[in-house]
Amino acid sequence: MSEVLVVTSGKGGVGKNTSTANIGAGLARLNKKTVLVDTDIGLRNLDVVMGLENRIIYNLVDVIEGNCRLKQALIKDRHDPNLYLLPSAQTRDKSAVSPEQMRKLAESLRPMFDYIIMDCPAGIEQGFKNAIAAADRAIVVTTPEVAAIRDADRIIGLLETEGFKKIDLLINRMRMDMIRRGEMMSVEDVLDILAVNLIGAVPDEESVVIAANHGEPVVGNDSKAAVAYLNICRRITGESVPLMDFTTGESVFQKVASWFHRK
Amino acid sequence: MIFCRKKALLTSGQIAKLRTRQTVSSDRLSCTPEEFLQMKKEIANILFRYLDLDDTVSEIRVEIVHEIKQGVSYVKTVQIK
Repeated sequence: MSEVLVVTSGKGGVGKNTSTANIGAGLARLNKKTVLVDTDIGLRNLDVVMGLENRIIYNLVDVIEGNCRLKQALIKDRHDPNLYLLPSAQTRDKSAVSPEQMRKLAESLRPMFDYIIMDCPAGIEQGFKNAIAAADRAIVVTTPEVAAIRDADRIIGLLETEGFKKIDLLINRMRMDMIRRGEMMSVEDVLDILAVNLIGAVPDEESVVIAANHGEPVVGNDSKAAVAYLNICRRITGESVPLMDFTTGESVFQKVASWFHRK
Repeated sequence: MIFCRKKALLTSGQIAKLRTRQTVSSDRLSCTPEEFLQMKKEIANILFRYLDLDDTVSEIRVEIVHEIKQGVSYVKTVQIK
């Protein structure tokens, strides 16, 4: 049975696109046929993150307006045959699509895929409403910063009002060196405030930026971020995976020092 | 003055957590951070006036529950101490 997920955050710049691309790549790697739907009409980015920007012929709005068939607009990933992208339109605006049309689109995609992932635009306006319209569950992406957590809390409230029963939190860009020094909120600090289920935390690593520069997902290489994303995908499929220990690779001195910095 | 000295001893991560908690709580209750702090003070004063509480109390939580026909709509928690 297929599942529709929405990846949202409220605040921009927390890593929604990157997280969506990597969750998609991870699920595909786990043999789940997955489609990523870029719902950010007018500001499409997911195609660039996945390195598929030169393959777009039709887009989401073309499908909804009946200018092409759904299969014509789907772009197969360069690396994984289980992964597809339905790109957004760059020259239209959010009002080109309604929540009802998004629900119909999701129903058309359900028989073809195990997972349909809606990449939500920043904000809480029409684009957000379109993205969440057909979703069964939500992943709220945040970073350990005041503004991002504040927006995540607002989004969680809105999702609860919309009747979402399953809302998970993904904490992105964790810097262990800063957390050790007490200069960044830890996973526990964020969970203490937001009180939702944590689906995973992703460390801030150069590998994520380098992979995005190449238009490739980080999933597949041996970085900690890649392992974190793959673990998140396993949890999405229902597998019980313990939270990864970001301190592996630290010296004994660093580990002892971190104990003295804890509250 | 004491407050300023205490704040200076906190790490930026701890300050961020305090600020986030205060901001999120204010948003949830739709009031300004100043109003929220004042409300906390006043609720704490009233509780201390009517209940036999000593200084060892580390946490007081007040839950505001809105009930609608279908059941509990939502709960807002105000942490006093």
